[in-house]
Formats: sequence, C-alpha cells, structure tokens
Amino acid sequence: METSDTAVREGDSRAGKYLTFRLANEEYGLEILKVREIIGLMEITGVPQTPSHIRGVINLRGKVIPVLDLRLKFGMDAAEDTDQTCIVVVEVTFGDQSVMTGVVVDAVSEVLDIDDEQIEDAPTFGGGVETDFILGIGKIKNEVKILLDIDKVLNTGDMAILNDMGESVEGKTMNVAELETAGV
Amino acid sequence: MNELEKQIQEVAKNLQWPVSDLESRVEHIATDLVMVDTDDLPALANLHENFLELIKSINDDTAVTSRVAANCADLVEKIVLSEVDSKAAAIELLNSAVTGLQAIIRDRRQPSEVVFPESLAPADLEEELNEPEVSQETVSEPEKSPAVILEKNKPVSKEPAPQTEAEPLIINLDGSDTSLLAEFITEAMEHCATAEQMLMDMETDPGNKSAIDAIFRSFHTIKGAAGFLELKPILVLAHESETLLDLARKGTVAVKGKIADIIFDSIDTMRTLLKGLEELLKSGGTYDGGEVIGAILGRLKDLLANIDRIEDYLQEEDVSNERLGDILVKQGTVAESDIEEALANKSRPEEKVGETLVKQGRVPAKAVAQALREQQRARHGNIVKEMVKIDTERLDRLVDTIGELVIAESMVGQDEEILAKASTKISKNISHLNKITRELQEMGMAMRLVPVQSAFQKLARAVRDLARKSDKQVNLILSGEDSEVDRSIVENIGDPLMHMVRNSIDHGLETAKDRLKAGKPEEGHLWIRAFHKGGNIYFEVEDDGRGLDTEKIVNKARERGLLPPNKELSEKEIFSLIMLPGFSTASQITNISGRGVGMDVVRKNIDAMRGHLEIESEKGQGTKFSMKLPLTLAIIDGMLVSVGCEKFIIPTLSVVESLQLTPDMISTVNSRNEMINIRGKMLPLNRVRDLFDIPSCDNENSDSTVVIVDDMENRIGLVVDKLLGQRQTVIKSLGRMFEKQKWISGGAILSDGNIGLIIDINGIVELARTVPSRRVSRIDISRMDGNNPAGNETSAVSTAPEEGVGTEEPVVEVMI
Repeated sequence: METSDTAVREGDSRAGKYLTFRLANEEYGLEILKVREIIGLMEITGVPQTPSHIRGVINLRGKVIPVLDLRLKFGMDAAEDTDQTCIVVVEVTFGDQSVMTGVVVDAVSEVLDIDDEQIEDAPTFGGGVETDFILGIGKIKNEVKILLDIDKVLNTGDMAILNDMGESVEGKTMNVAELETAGV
Repeated sequence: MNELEKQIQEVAKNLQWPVSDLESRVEHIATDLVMVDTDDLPALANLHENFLELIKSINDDTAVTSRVAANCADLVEKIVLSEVDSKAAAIELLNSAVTGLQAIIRDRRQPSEVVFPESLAPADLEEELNEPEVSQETVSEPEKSPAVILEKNKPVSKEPAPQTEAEPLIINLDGSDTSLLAEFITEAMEHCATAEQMLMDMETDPGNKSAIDAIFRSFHTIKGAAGFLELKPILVLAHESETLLDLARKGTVAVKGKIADIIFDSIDTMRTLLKGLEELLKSGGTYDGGEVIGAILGRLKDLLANIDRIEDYLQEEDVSNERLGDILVKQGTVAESDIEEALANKSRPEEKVGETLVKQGRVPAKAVAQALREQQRARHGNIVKEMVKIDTERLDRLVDTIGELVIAESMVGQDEEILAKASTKISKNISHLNKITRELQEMGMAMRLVPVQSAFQKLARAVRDLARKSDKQVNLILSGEDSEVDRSIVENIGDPLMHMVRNSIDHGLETAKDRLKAGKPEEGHLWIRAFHKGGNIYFEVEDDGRGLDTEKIVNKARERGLLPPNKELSEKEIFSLIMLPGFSTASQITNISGRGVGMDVVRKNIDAMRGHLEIESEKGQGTKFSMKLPLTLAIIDGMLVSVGCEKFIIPTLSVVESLQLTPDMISTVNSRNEMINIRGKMLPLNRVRDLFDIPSCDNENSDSTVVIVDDMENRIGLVVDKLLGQRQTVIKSLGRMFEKQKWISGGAILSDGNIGLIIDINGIVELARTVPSRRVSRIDISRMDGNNPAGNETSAVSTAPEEGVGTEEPVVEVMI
C-alpha cells in the first residue's frame, strides 16, 4: 500500500494510461497496468456468508478468482446487470501476494492518456470521508474521472470486513466512509 | 596350466561381466580423458566418478589397478581443487596411467609388465594402510584455524590464520555465480539427506558396504563442489569427515556407536553451514563458519588421531553377501545338488563356482552372468532409477492444465448438441479422447507422488536421538516407506508425525526399569506405518508403552477449565481432549515435549490437510495414533450435491453415509432444533440451505437427502436437495479474499465450467453450532458440549418420535 502511495503521490507518476469505466453516472479510472483483461459478465458462483459486495467466484480459464461488485463496494445502489455490465480483471497486491480479482462495473468506456496537469489531488470532504483510495481526480474536457488506487480499494475494506464477519454485514451495504474507517 | 588359463579366459569372455565392464569403464575413462578440458569442472567430476566406479568394479582394493585408479582419482580431485602446479601436466600423467590400466585390463598384461608414472604408481600397500590419505594431509592443514569466515562483500584482508600460507580462508561471494551457489546448496542438502539415510541403514547393518560408499560419495561430492566454489568451511568439514569415512570404507573402523554419532553430527553441522550460506546469499554480511565447525572438527581430529587405539571400532567381517550358488538356486536355474556336485568336481581349488558350473555345462553362461549381476546389485545397493529434476511450479502448472483438459474434455463429451448429432464415428473419437485424457490425468497425479521415505527418515533420526536423550530403549519398526503420496503431504506430514513420535517416546514408552516392573520386555517398541487403503493414505504411530491415562486426562481438563464438572465423556471424547490447545498431561515439562503445544498443532495440521485423526489407547498396553489423509491435496474426492440452484462438494473422506430423508425421521427439540436417529444414535440435523442462506430454486426435491458427516469429534447430518454423484476434482483455492471463510475450503471447476464450492467439514460443523443459536435461544453449549448437542436433551424430549423412527428402517445408501 505504502509503496504505491508514495510512488504515485510524490513523483510525476500519476500520468499514464487509464482504463475508464462507468458506475451509475460517475466515471472512474484504473491504471491500465493493473488491468489484466475485460470479460463479459459470466456466471458467478456466490460464496455463502460473505458481504454483499463480494459477488462470488468465477472460473477464469481454470483459475478461480473472486469477483466484487464495485457499486456495492462504494455503497451505491445495486443495479440490474445489463449487456454492458462487465468484469474488469485486475491484478492487485494483497500483502506480499499478487492476486487476480474481478470487479463488476456498469460499462467500460475507453483507455485515456492522462497527463499530470490534468490530474488533481482529491479534495478533502467533510464528515471524515477518507479519500485514500483515490489516486487523484482527472479532468478531461470538462469531464471528471475519479482515478482509483485499486490496490487500496480492494485491500482496505474487504479484509477488515472478512476479519470480523461474524457480527458485520449480511445483506447490508456500507458507505465509503464506513468502509474506510473499518479499514483503518 | 596354459591350457587352464585359456579355458578361464574362454569362460571369462562368455561371462561378459565383470571383465568387459571393466574394459568399457577404462575405455570410457580414456576417451573422457582425451576430451577433457582442465577447466571443465563437470567433466572432471565425471572423470573422478568414473575412476571411483572403476575401483568399485575391480572390487579388490589390493589390486594394482585399483590402487592406481585410486591415485588417479585423487589427482583428478587435486586438479579440481587447483592443488596441482600444472593442470595440463597432471592430465598428461593421468593419460599415461590410464594407458597402463588399459594394458592390464584390456590387453590382459601382467601388472608387472606395465610402467605407471611415478606419482601414480601403486604405493606400497602397508604404507597406505598405516598412513591413510597422506597426500591429502596438505589440504587439511589450513583447517586448524578456528576462524573461518564466509564473507559476502570484499574479502577483508585479515591476519592469515596460522599455517595458511597457501590460501586465504576468507570466502568471497562477490562475483560468485549466485545461481550456482543456490544449486549447490540444494544439491548438498540432498546429499546430506542421502548420507543421513544411509547412516541410518548402517545402524542396523554396520557391514553395509554400499551404504558407506554412498555416504562417502555424498561427502566427496560436497567437498569437490565446495572446493570449486571456494566455500572453505564446507570444504574443510567435508574433507575431515571424508577422512574418517574413508577409514570406514577401507574397513579400519566400523560405523556404529560414537563414530556414527560423529558422522551424524557432521551432517547436521553441514546443514547448519549450508543454511548459513543460504542466509548469506539472501542478506549478505558475514557468516562465521569457523565457529560452527569448530567443535565438530575438534572431535573429528581427536578421533582420527586416536583411531588406532579404539579397538571397539574395528570392523567385523562382512558376511552379508549372498553366494552366487544360492542366487542361482533361488532363480531355479540349477538344483542345489548340482551345485554341490559341481563344487566337489572343481578342477582347481580357487575356481569360482560360476566358472565350474559353466565349464561342466550345468548352467548356461548367460544365467551365471545374470546371477553375477544380481549379486553385484545386492552388494552395491539398489539400482537407482533415472530421474529428472523438475521445478515444482512447472509440475503444478502441468497438473493444473491437465485438470483443465479434463474439464474441457467432459464439456465436449457431454455437450448435448454434440451428443444429439453424434455419429458412431464421433462417439468413438470422443470416447478415445476421454480415455487418453483420463490416462493423462492419472499420470499427472502420479507425477506429484513421492514415497514417504523422506519423512520417515527424519523420524528415524529423531527416534534415535530422543531415545538416547531420554535414556529409553526403543526399537523402531518402520513399514510402508515406499507408499507414495502427494509431495505436499509428505512435506506437511513431517511435523505432526514428529509430535506423535515425541509424545510416544516421552510420555508413552517407559524406561527399561519400569517396563520390566510392568512385565514387559525391556525394549520399547515404536511402530510407524504408512499404507494405502481405499484411496487414502494412513499413517500410524503406535507404541507399547503405558497408554493414555483417561482419569488423568479428565482431571487435567477439569483443572484447566476445559471441561465442565460432572460431565461424562466417552473414551473417544476423552482422547480428543488431549488435542485441545493448552492441554498437556506431562506432569513435568521436559525439553522433549510437554509444553502443552503439540497435539493441538497436530490436529490443526491434519485438519489443514483435510485428514482425520484417531486415537486408540489401552492403559498399560500402548497408544496408537492413526491418521487418514487424502492421497493428494490437489485433488479431492467429493460428493457433488445440490442445494437450491447451487452445487457443493462434500469431501468423501468425511462422509459417513447418506440417506433419503423423510419427514418422519426427524425429531425436534424446542420445536426448532432438528435431530435424526441413525441406528439408535441421535444426530443433529442441519439444513445447508439455512446455514448458507441459499434462496430456493424450482426444485421438487428440496431437502430430500441427508449426508452424515464426521469431523472427528462430531457427527452431524447435513440436509441437501440431491446427490449428484461422486466427483474427483482439482481443488482451487479461493484466494486471500476468502481466507477467513472457514466453511468453504476451496472451489472445484465442474464439468459445465461452473464452480462448485467445497464444503469444509470442520468449518460447517462449527457454523452449524453458531447459526441455529441465532434463530432460537439455545442452552449454553460449551465447546466440548457441542460434541453432542442433542445428547443431553434427547432423553427428555424425543422418546416417542425416536421409537417411531426406530421401527421403520430408513433406506440407507452407504457410501463408504
């Protein structure tokens, strides 16, 4: 976590190619280097007794990988799957391991080359909303893309939730703030 | 006389062995020598090996050829270690020596006719025996210095230790090929293991020549490589041990008692050094090899200096060889009476029995040759199968890919569209594909299997050490070392087995005095067995010691608050108490075991391997731990069941039976908690649908089957919709994200490409205890109590329904 943080915040390294996708009516971006592939929605096997934002596991050519619903993860309302809904397979680091994980997004938009000048730090929100998982805000022609530090997104909340799953969540969604505080 | 010699040569030619073998070896050496480059270390090592092989084939240490070959081998070694002034000149010397050997062996000249280069000519035999390895004395000089330091970075120019004019003792890893070093470490570790195993063999059979040869070779190889890599401490230790081993090889000393101890210690020290080196590779810095080897070196030197005064160590005559005649009789080639007759009619007294038999036409020469080969084999140990080392990661990937192939194959083979259109030709091809795939799968699985030997070997060593430490006489009886099991299991079984062995020796077996008092033989017995049964592998550790004291265990458990007072337990439950964390019956904490960690760790390890542990014990008679494990961790034998629209796999290992569920089989407690009567025993019933919150799916068979599972302590009934059959599937981990998910142990890819989750029996039993308590307020059940939640309550509530069930025998499909 720290490494990606310092590498991104300090150098000029925030510039680069981003895969942008849509969640509800917001546009997000993912470093393209983290993306392994994009696949259409396929049958997901639910794993019992897990938080609702964990959709389950899929068979990716013989590998079993977990799939998360990013909408639910961010505390947005669940949406019906459409033919645009797809799974972005990213490679994230959990501790010292690198793990493939799928995230369900509403639709994939495009791959954007974003310069450093186009990226701003995330503003500080009131109410203790953590913005750690946001690499920065990209502004491209009046449009705003929220650039995600996907390692952090997937690391922070989930592990903590699974750790004390006994008493937490069952069908209940958490908002971002809760998620982040749970992680810290 | 001339006539006779001709005849002998005639026979010898027919025999083909060992004469032609010698010839071919010498020829080999000669060609190798022409091709060898002075800096080509592998080739030199090979050459060295060939000389040793030659000596072995000559099989007579006093023969001129053998002694010359030995000198040649030493010279090659010096070339490798750069201890000669001119390598080219040394090769020249070797060349002329080999020409001499060729003359004797191939051209059958008398040794007296052949001139060898002076430095390689056979030394006077007596001299050699009195002063073993004179030539190597120079090598051992520098080792006397206590400070041998391995250093990663620049060699600090320290004061050269006394007597080390020739070479500095400091090792410079800088610029060394790290991959070469890493390889050396792995290889040397393997050599240590081999040596250790052979040493163990020698404990029971001190005259085992092939074993001592193997140990010698291991040290020798390590020494050679260490010399090349300039790892002085390792070189020194290997060399010094080798000197001792060489004496053993020559029959001057026998490997037993103190000498065996010291060699064991050498091996251990070698391992320490290797580990140190490994650390050094990773982290750099310095590693004081001198400190590590100091003690053992001192002991070795001491022993070597006084060796002639220790009469105990003199070797006994080796009588273990089977005679050629016996082999022939065993093979049925010849009758015993024939041999006796042949022996009586020998044409000359020193004639070998094989010759006589061939000459008298009683046996074909070929049969004698075969028998000779067998004899040779017996003398030199088993013929080793040829092996290829493979990166385990690659192997795993191969097995994974085969797993996928199996799935892809069944997807094609069971595709309805294809089946509908299939002509005979297509179905024939599909079934052919199916056959090949299965075969490939089996082969893939078999590749991961290794004999449990390596795990057993460590145990044998531990038993030896522990028995000595605790001053008990233990006769260890191993069986089933050849049983094959998945590599990962062999790796993981070591610790649990070790704990059990420790337990047996420390707590189980009594001292000789106590044993005699109890009317048992002085020597305690410890059996360690491995065997296959019903697609699983079993490990057993059994002793004939004092057995588990149930009373003491119960008292202890109460004391520790692990057990509510006034609770009656069955014997099985009492035994399972010792596997609770923080439980230890040893009244005294010894340095061997008894710190209260142990059996719970064993339990955890076995659970992790999806295994099953059972304890049998009778007071005063002994204890038996028996573990049942799947053959492989990569594949699971499971029952595919459906619940709602989901499919799950229940490991067959934990399934006791399964049966059709009818409403009248169910009794309830508090009108919520369900139970089922299985042949008079009430078991709690849990619906997987409720445990996992699975929505119902249009399914007319909902909750119609019950699978009885057993997690060792508890037996519960799991209610599912339908049994879909037995499956063997490759287990895939669900990954870090689900590692806290204890009731699912992994995923398996089903024939339709979807994932079936594998139920973890321990986990689900645990879950079954917690989930219903959320629904109904339930009597407080402690962990132990949970064993049999129904137990306390049955008598009160379920008399009537129980009888109802009992009269009507349910349809039982026994799965195992």
